Amino acid sequence: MKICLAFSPGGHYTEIQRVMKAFEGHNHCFATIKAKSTMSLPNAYYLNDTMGPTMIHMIFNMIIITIQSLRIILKEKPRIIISTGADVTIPLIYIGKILGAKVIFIESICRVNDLSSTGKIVYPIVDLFLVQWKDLTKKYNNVKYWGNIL
Amino acid sequence: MIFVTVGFHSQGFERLIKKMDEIAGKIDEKVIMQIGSTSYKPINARYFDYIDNFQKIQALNKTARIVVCHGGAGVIITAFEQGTPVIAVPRLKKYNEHFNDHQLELVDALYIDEKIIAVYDIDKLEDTLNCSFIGYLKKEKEENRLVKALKEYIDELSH
Repeated sequence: MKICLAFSPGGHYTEIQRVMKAFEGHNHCFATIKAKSTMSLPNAYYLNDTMGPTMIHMIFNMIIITIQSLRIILKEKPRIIISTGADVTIPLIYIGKILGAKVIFIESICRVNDLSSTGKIVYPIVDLFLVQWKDLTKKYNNVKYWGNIL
Repeated sequence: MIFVTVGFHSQGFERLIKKMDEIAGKIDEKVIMQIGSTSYKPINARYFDYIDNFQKIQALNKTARIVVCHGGAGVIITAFEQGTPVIAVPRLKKYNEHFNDHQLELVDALYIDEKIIAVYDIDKLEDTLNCSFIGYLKKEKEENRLVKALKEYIDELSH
């Protein structure tokens, strides 16, 4: 079964590495931004960075990222998409969901009192939204707490 | 050995580095510091700003008796993976150590969960270095509950 793991470099990548064992035995590919830490990943697709000097740049970047994400989904046809954020993974999550994949979002361990903005944007459509602190299940109806990465 | 680490954040963390330098001058135990963007340079401990080599960082975390760090998830995870107890001092906006106080959130929650020790008043740091609670901190489990649950969910989807 094909799994696509989507994440930004840095903390989001660190967090997904902590749960990598859960995906053993399945084919997987990676969708991320090119950085020192991610450039040697096997089977990796590199998306544009969302950041830009102006809002126009950022909107333009998001359009490019959306096209890139569509290409990845059409090529890899993942059965499951798993994301730890951040915003660069939003198009992949939405497109993946529309084209029939199951989507899992794992909110960061740093989010104790509320979801991240990425989390709030994808919350309406993901199949499984995992939070890492139990109290968040009181605040949001459709999130699950299955423990955390520590 | 005490390993002090303040991560990759763009602002310095003078409050922690200065205090640990002062402590290093008083105690026999060796102190090594990763000072990041901090402009204050320790005089009683070996220090470096960053190392590219992550394996060296992991080795420092592994050999240390305690890791004293800022409240960043990355450094805390790295220490936890190596089985080394963590004393975390959250960076605070009011001292220009960070742009906001979100490190407080994570440090508070992990402290309540007994995974780390939190120090909020830097003058209490020295006493904490030898407190008995260090021995009672929760350690990494053989099988992480979240990993197990995710694995079961994914395996079920593949049938």
